[in-house]
Amino acid sequence: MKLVSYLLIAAALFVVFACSPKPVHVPISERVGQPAEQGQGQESQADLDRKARERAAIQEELLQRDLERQKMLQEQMKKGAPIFKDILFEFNGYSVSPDYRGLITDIAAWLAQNKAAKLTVEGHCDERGTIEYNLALGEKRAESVKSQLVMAGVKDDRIKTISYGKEAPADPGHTEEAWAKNRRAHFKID
Amino acid sequence: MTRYVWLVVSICLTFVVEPVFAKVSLDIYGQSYKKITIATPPFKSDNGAKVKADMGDLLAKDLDMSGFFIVAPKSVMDRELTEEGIDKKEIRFENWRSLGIELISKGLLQTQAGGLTLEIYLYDSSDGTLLFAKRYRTTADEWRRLTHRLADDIIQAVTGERGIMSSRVLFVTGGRQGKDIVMSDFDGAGQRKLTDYGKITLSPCLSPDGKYLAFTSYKEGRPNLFVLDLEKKREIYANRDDGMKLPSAWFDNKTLVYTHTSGKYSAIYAENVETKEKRTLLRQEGILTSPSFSVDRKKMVFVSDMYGTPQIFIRDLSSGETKRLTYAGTYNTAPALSPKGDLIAYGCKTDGALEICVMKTDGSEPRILTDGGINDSPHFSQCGRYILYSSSNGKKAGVYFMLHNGDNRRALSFTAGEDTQPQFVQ
Repeated sequence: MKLVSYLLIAAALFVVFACSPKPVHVPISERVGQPAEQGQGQESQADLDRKARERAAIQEELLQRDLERQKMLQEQMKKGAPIFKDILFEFNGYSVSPDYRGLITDIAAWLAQNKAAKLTVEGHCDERGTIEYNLALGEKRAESVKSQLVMAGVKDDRIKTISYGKEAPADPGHTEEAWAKNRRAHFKID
Repeated sequence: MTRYVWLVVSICLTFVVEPVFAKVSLDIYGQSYKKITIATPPFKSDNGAKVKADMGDLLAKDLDMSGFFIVAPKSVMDRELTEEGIDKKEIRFENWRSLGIELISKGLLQTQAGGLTLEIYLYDSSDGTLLFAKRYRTTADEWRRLTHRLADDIIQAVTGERGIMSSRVLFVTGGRQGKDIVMSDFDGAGQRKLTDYGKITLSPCLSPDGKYLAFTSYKEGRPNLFVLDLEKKREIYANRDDGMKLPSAWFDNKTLVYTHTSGKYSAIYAENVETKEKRTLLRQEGILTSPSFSVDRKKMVFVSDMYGTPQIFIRDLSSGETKRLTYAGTYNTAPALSPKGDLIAYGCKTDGALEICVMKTDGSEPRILTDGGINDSPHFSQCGRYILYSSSNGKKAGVYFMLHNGDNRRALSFTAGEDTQPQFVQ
């Protein structure tokens, strides 16, 4: 029985050590390396150059931050893509169907989280209308989506509207299906 | 010989020898009308065989296109007829009558260095009456325009109103990658781009003097309204307000009428593009588009969806009295008022198609003129007899014209792209 007890203790100790947090094993040289180097005194020309390079790098990073923000927004939009679905309309209609209430809420919530993002709502129409009337109708579609979002708490100045009438169909076909896809409000993040 | 004496008096002086309407009258306001048979035997000429044949062919084509004539094919004219002289005494009218030909157009073409002179005599075969005589002179390279003018003069002599063969057409051309505005001769020759932005540019509207061109363009990303001075080739006006702005008509050479849809409201404005002085003709909730005006600018026809679907209304601009004109169907748009003030052409949606229709200005007697496809943007000629429009039937959109009773539907093959929103430029 004594042998068994020693074996158990040994096993327990092994488990304890084996599961210790990693930082314990970080070599001392790594943890103190930089201060030790600096502690060696005189600023060499090489050090000055390195610092200048670091400052330049920081500058560059600041300049690129805007671009990265854009990229991030695009990424976010991709992640959020399921919610940025087109809102479809009845022939000639421009009121947003109650079916899209959930979508509107989701987009409003997304905009609340992504405060830097601005939204453009594009209004589109199918080909079975006159060019002029469709250009006006597309504007009304975009505006009614915008007003729904504003009602859901999005600030007015974060949403722009633009109408393309029937000039930019999502589906160039001439079928009922294509027309249904083309009567839409489409979202774009700016 | 006496003929030459009085012809020399003027280049373009027209002599209508006696009223012709008793003999050849056209009623195109009814369901149908009788076409007139006309023969255009080759012009007499000492030289210039090529241009002679080209002009003869073009004249025959123009007269046929007008919809008022059946042009006798060359094959029915034997040698005796084609070689007959042009003087009344030389013509054996009974021969022409026996072929069922009612009018004979005889011409004498002379070519000089770089120039053309054409004398034309139009005879009625029933009694040899000279209906029309005229002498034309132009440079050799302008033979097409001269022939179109001649065709229009013959049409005027016979029907009482000038033809449209020498008019020009303004239209939008392009595809999904971009659209621009083009001006063309009616026969498709002499095309020139008035805009060249390679973006969506549409709804052209030319001032009556031809100086200012208004249009809506996405050239800056958003649809904005611009006016170009075509003479000075520069932009003189831009409207970048939010929403959709579309030019529709000119009140005069400086006052542009356009619609603006933004927010809850739509409005129709008349704005002086030089002074920016602006007045509101109409403003209401919903959509307002396509205002078209009577020649005296007292009546405005427009589209509104105030009753839920797009319908056509007429408004007396001084009293403000507004009357709804269309009740049939759920989609009546793009009205164009005839310069004669008697008819409105418009687009209406039927099952699966968008058709061109006409109705009287009180909304009575609506009639569908086209049969299927997507037909859009009707526009009347100055004489009120023709309607220019765009049409597509699953294929590319092209420019077409027809008489306002729906007869004589013809395609004008301008470009290989999508041609839309055509209008006559006189």
